[in-house]
Amino acid sequence: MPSKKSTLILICIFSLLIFSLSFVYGPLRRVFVAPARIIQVETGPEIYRLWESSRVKGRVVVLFSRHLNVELAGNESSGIKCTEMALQHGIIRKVYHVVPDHVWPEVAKNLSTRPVFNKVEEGYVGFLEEGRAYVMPLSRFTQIQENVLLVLEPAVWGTEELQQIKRLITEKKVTTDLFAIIRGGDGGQAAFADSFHSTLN
Amino acid sequence: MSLNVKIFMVVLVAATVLRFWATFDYRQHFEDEGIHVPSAISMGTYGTTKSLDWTHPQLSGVILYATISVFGDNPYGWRIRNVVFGTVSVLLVYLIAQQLYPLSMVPLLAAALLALDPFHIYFSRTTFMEIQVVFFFLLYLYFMLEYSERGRRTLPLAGVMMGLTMATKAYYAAAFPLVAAFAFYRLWKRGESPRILCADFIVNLLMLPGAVYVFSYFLWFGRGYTFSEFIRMRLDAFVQNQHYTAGIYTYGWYLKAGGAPWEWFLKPFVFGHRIFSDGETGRFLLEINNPLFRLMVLPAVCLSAFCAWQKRSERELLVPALFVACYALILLVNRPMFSYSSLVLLPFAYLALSKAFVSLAQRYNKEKPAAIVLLVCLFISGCYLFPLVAGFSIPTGVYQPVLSLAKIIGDP
Repeated sequence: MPSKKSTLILICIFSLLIFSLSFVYGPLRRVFVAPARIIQVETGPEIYRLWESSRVKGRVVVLFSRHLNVELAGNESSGIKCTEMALQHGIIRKVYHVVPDHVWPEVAKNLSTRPVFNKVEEGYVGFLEEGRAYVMPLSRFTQIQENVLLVLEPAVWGTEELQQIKRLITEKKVTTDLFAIIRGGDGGQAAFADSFHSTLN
Repeated sequence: MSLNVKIFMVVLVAATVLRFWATFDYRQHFEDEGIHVPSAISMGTYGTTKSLDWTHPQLSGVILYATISVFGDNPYGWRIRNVVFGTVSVLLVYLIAQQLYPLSMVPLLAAALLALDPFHIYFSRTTFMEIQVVFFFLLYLYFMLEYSERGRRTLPLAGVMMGLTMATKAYYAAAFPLVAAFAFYRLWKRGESPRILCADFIVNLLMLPGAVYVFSYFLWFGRGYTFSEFIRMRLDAFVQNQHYTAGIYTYGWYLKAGGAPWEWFLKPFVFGHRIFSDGETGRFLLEINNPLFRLMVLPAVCLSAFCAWQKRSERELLVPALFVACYALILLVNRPMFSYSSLVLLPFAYLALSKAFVSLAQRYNKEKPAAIVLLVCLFISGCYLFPLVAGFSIPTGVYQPVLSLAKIIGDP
């Protein structure tokens, strides 16, 4: 039987090992896409299929869209909650949902009535299936340190705001390895999407 | 083998039978099993729950997922965990009482009270995490007593059990420091160096449980999270828990029917589901808070505390102190509490009740005959109420006194 002193040392080593692992295990389990890709999708629900087929895991997502689950994008109105489903399935672990400034009063009003959302400096933070979801207007979005999954729904943004989003990307305030641009039904944003290729690579 | 031990073996067999018998016959999810089972499967598959359950620690779901993996997604996989933990809890109460009240009838009576308690039996036959948290805490208490009273080297085991308890639910947050302070005081009184004790306690009762607690989240960390995100998530859970009101629960009636926490030991509660009834016979699944004995708990806690104070016995004071600490936490917490939370108080409640009963009997030199009478009463009431908590077919006329008190609410 080990002495009392060696038992204490063993426990200390075990505990420190567990605490150290808790710092590195999670980041090691994240799965990224290489090389970085820009994909145009027709509708919101396609985003989930894109993430799933790319086998990404444990990621942060930044959504420049009107709705959290992008379910109303394109011509198809779908009940698929792509963001919540991705959180549930471990594809993403944290959400930054950035909405246009002109819709922020309406969004803030909606969120203030939902018990899972609390007001914070940037906007609101919600607790969804153990993942945090930040919701904020574009003017309060600053930067993200980690390589993220990026989603842009150009149809809901004005020209000036789209340029602002483009600057965030070119200035590396948001870096991404998988950029989904929702083309919508008319395909009118294809040229705009093309302009991002040079910034990403 | 003494008569006392022989009778205890009978009690343990009864506890086992009442928890195993026909538990797996009911093949649908019943009550919160419809939340616990999908959440556990989601946790095992994706590292996260699938419901409001995310605010609770994860170990309950992890163990439930393990049993489902072994026995299958069926009643055995769902319920075997609580059946086993609930049965072993009876043994643990007996062993703990032997440490605290040796050479008396208290261990036997306390074990019998828990073994035959319809409320504990009811939840031992389901997936509720309260049975698991009680089991781990009793193990923690047992190892702490082995360490402080018998000088055995069980402190690391106590530390592991403390971590497992915290990783199940936070009910005993106030009880841990109390037990640790008790053990520290006992050992210090026996001449142990406070400096060495402090080092022992910091490593075994702080670092080790912390590591076990963090380790219980390994599935969650596998989703890509870091330690700082873990701390933030637990703080989020705490904040979220503060926002829970009675209105968010789908089954608001369930909350109401079980009574407010302050009523748990003051009023009889009988409520639950009717599976079938044709007037003469019926099948019910009822939560019964064992009114015959529960209503005696608060006076018993006062009496046992008074006796311990008179004797200046910190060992006998431990049980009433644990009851008060845990109950106070439940009473003061800022969220609705369901009646099943009272399960975590039952071991202390019944230890205190047994102690008070034995103290009174000893005054008249009638400890053994009085204990036998109480045991007989316990067996009669336990066997009478058992069909109501197990969903057995009963003649409704015979059970009219209980059914007349019951609030019946549809299907399970």
